Amino acid sequence: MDSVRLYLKSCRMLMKSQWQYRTSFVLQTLSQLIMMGTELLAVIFLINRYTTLGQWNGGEILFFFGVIITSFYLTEAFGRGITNFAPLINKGTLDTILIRPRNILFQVLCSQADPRRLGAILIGVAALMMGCAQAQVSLNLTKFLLLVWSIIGGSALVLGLFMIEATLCFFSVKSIEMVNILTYGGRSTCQYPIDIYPRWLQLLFSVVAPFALTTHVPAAYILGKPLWNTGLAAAFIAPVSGFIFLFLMTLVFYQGLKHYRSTGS
Amino acid sequence: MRVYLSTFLLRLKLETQYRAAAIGGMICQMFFGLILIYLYRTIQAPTQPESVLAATATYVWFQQACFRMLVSSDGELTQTILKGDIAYHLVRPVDQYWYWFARSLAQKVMGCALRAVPMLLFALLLPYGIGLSLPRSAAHLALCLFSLGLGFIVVCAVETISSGLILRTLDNRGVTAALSLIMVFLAGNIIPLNMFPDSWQRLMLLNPFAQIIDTPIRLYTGECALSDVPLQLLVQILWIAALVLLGRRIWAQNLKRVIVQGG
Repeated sequence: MDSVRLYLKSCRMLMKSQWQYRTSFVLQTLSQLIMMGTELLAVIFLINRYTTLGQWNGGEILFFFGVIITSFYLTEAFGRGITNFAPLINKGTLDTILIRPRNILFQVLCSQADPRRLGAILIGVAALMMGCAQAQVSLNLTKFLLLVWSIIGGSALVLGLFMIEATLCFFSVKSIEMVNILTYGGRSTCQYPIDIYPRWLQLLFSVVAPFALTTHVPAAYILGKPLWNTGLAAAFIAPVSGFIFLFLMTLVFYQGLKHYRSTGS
Repeated sequence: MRVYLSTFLLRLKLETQYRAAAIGGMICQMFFGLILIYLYRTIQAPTQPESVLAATATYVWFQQACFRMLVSSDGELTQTILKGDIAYHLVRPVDQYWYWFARSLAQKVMGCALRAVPMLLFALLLPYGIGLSLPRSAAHLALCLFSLGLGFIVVCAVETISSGLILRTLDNRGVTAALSLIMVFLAGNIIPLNMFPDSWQRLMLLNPFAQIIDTPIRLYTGECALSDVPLQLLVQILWIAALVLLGRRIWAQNLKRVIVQGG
């Protein structure tokens, strides 16, 4: 409980410090909104022209888009300490974290947040609502809980993926661009339902980086067209893969931490 | 003219030093290209013939290979102004507009060539429908390359306008971000321009950002009929004239008010 209180407090502090530069903050949030808005617009253009994508219709495609965008940018907003890990090493900030008597990852997460991502999250939620309306899906309590659970699972997965990048920072500051294939590549690929892609991509994003399990399986169940014949129980279990992934990457992160050498002064 | 040419060549050489960075970026770009192609294949397959699917794949490969054209790259001008080094530039007997234009051109041409050539060669090896198709004819290829050259000039003219604004505002990250967003979208990098709604189509073909890369691709695939080619090239040239004139005006005005800082 103490940790939760501390985390909320640090979030408040970070929010306050951002709010010192009000105009800049508002404009940057707005630019996030517009950036994600153009991506949404692109999806809407595609839907208008072609109406269906494999077995999915327009509203359903918007729903998939909404789930992945919301969970991805939740991580970018609250997991900023991990998604933007390199400066902690380059500036030597990690040293101050290491000498404090608290969990290291917890402190890293407390150290940064990026509330500007709210703009992108808003677009994600808007896409979810438009999707529900167009696909005529009514969210009863079970489905609503499943949706929230799936978004949290997705966020955990994305945090785990960014943790790979953070771990690589212990070894080298260069050549981490390749990991982008799993993070941003995963986001872009899984904006659309996984079953439209060839087998190797389906495997990559359901076994290696389980975006399909954390978000597509539950989302497809909510839409009433279950992927791979999954039932309600399976739809609830699938997002656990995101937490398992995050857990494994946490272990890897601590292994990497042993190789840490201070660079700051 | 010699000054601008040698600035251009010097910068070309400088840019070749970033080969290692290019490889990582290239692999990511190719991955994104493949994803988009699979997506468009699924979405177009029910209604379109295989030839359209292949043309779309070609379009995507070109867009990915030339992505570097659309990324604004020269952060040095801001630093130059903040540190006061701009004074050294101003005393030189060169036209500032063309000097920065030549730098930007070199950066884009080499940045692009380093990535585009290996990527397009790789894409040529992929099977028909997923890979890059061959051009309609040798004439189409020549026209495409010529038009691509004009495209480089268009995009550099746009970038030099935005850097001309830095002279006064010092920090134009906001403008740059907004501009590159609009540019990437209207250049056809997010979705191909021919997938925009029908009511937008005519406007799309005339928009300045379509002249950067969309027009060259349509010449390559032959989507643009040979009889329309002179008109297309004219549109490109008119945009170049308009953008260069506007850019030169902005530079002429803002250079008078630029403040030499530092000490």
